[in-house]
Amino acid sequence: MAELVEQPNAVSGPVQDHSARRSWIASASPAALRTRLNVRSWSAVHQFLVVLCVLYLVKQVIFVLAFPAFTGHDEVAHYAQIRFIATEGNLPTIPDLSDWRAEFAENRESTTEDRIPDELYRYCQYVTNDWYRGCDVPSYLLNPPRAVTFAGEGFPSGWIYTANHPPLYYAMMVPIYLLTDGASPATQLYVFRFAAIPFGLITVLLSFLMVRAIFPSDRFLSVVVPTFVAFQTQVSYEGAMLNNDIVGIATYSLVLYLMVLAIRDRFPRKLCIYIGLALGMALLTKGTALTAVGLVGLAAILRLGIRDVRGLAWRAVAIGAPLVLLAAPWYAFLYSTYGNFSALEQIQELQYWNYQNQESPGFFDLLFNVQFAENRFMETWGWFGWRLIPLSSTLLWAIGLPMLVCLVGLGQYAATVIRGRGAPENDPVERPENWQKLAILMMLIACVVAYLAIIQFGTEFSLTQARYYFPVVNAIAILLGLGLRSLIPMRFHPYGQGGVLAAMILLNTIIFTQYVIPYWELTT
Amino acid sequence: MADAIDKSMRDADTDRSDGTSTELDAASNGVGAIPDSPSDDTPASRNSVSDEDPGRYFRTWFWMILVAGYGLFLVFGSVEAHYWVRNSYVERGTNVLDVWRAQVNGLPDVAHQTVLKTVFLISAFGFIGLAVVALWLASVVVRPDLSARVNDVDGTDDSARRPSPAAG
Repeated sequence: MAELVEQPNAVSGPVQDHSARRSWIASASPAALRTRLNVRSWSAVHQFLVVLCVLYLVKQVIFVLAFPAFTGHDEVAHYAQIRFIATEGNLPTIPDLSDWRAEFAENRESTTEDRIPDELYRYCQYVTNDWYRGCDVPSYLLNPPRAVTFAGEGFPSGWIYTANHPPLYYAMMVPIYLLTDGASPATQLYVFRFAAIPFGLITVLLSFLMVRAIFPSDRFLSVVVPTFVAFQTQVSYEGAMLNNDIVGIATYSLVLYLMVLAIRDRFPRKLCIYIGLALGMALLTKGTALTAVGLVGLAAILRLGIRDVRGLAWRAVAIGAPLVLLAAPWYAFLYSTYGNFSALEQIQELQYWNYQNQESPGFFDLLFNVQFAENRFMETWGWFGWRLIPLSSTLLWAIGLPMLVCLVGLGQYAATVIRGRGAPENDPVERPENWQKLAILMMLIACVVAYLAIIQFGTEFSLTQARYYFPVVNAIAILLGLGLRSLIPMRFHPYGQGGVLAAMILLNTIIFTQYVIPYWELTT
Repeated sequence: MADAIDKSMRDADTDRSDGTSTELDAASNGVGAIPDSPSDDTPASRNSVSDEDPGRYFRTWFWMILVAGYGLFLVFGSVEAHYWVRNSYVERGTNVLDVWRAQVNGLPDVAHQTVLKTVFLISAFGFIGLAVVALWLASVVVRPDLSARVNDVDGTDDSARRPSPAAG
């Protein structure tokens, strides 16, 4: 990746390769390594980054251990999926409702759909309604329900409802499952949670790299942006649980970072191939990554110009080939199994409780629905698990108001940039180059698209959630950071940096002290 | 990714060594660029800057207030804890320390309890210690680093990526 950054302009020639190799050899010499490892010789920003990363790691340990086993959203289903793959050697599938009903009519006791293990029924209150929530009934605990009747029709209960998720995350977790096979599911769960932490750390590092790529010398953004990402409570929560979301966030963040480099360097061939690989990985992790394909395409068109048909065409091939190579087998599997590329039709049929007492809302109903937006904001900072732990409206305002102020600052920044005057001569952030403007615009578009995508999902599924837009957390952090930066006079930036860090530390401490720990530990 | 961060560090080194970038002095009201001043904080520049930088005094006080406030909150503070008891929602004033003691006593009931407790305590105290260091680096040591660069005209000039002589 360093090579990409250093030789961004075009395809590397032999001379550049030699100089890169010489430079690498020089930097790998013992003396150079000693210098590199001498923390005191690092710039303050890099020292800060290292401390922030270690701080993130210890914080994540607290996140992992503070939440009881299997209380995270879908942890039961994800665990079941990993176990299924590890023990059966293939992917679980979502039952076809009519086939299941035919089977159920013949034998009510032993249907053959891929199921969540019965021993996990004790955690049924942390699962969606796809497993009947009767785990406070002793007889159900001994013999968990396999079917429910709704409006006179039978439906399976306890099927693996995450079975339509792409396989990359589960494939990475299977070795951990096999290594800990002798332990209890709860012990295994905590190991899986610890295994999620590196992906959160990667996301934090990518936020730093992305902001350094757009504004290489700005310390305010280099401190504030990774700080926001590292301490964002729900993204941290995703990075401390058994869930494919944090891998999805990390891979999507990688795509955004590479996209920024590509915007800067006019989409050189190598970078296009890397983007294709990153997109492929993202699509193999979470279906929501599909929006990133459109974003990259739009960025290429805006950077190169629609008239450069030939240039766009070969870049489309360079990005598309590795993308298709990686993702096609999964989509071929989906199509051959379900007859579509998402299996959402099958899930919709099975989820009898989805918009049970109301009609599905329209796109614009949700777009202008204040309650919907408020709920997403609540999910962005609290409601850990399946909407378990609500935060008070006072705290939500304490979080929301500064964010609104940052958005006002972003508007002011945009106005300054568009006007092209009024900004300090020597401030490269306030006077961005054209490619930097495009990179910022793409961050904004990424955020808007991510929000619209959860609205679109919400028109069909009542369980649409804020976490579907977490993959753009780095873009959100950059936009908020830019807004805040434009409001704080230059000489007060160090206070702003310290203030943001202190606020995020305090916010995490308060949320845990006031809500999370009492919810689990003081209840009894 | 390590390579990319390494590159980012080399960029910082370049900024320092070639003397081409400029920096707004944190203590100078942010109105003037000082050509050829150290743009980052090498040990040498850190020492010299700390001697001449009156802003550092105020930033150190700022850091001390933040750290003292956080420490006092943890040791003596109390919060309105929100939780459920038998289906009724409770809001009760509780000491911060008591809440965290409850957490230490309520760690997951899985294998290797002693190890788990040790790891949790190290993480909790490590969090506080590292927070203090991070606040120091963010608010006292880290100052604005504005390397002025030449704007490109047509939006295609890659020189924008590289620090270049100050335009003023």
